[in-house]
Amino acid sequence: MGWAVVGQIVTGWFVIDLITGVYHFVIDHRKPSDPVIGGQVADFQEHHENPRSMEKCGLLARVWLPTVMALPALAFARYGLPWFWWTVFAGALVSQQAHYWAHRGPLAPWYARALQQLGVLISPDAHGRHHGDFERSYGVLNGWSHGALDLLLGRRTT
Amino acid sequence: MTAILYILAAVGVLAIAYAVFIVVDAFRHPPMG
Repeated sequence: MGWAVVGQIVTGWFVIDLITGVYHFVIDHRKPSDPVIGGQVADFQEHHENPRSMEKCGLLARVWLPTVMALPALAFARYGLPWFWWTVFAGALVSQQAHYWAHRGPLAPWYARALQQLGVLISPDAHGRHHGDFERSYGVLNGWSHGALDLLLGRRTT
Repeated sequence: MTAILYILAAVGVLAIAYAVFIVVDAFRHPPMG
């Protein structure tokens, strides 16, 4: 595996944290009456009130919708930068599960906690900043994009 | 086949327009919930 491949994977892992972070920002700011994404808006806003509400649904429920939404990335994998696009797809696929594990804390499986400590997945501390005021740190996969997201989307009233 | 491509393109354009709208609109509201 050459450095170019490593670069594509690392960049993809950052970019999908940024994209899912922007989407998280959107669903935090829309009304549950939205005709297209209202269901997710309601789920996320309930999750703000009760972070353990994520435990109601199973692994499949946390994975299928991000997977469907990321399917267009695979169309690009046919053309240049295939590792980048596969990483974007894989990151979207596991993004909500990574978010869930950040809320499980010590109850998350050992491999998830190891990946959190390595910074590959978002840690409880990094995601906890979002639950402080819901106006910053929108990343749900690894938090690598928090600097950029906070600059672009963070609290604008202070 | 061409008609299907036109329909897919139209759906794609609508999806992109909706995505742009909800991102821009999100800046107009405080976080909810």
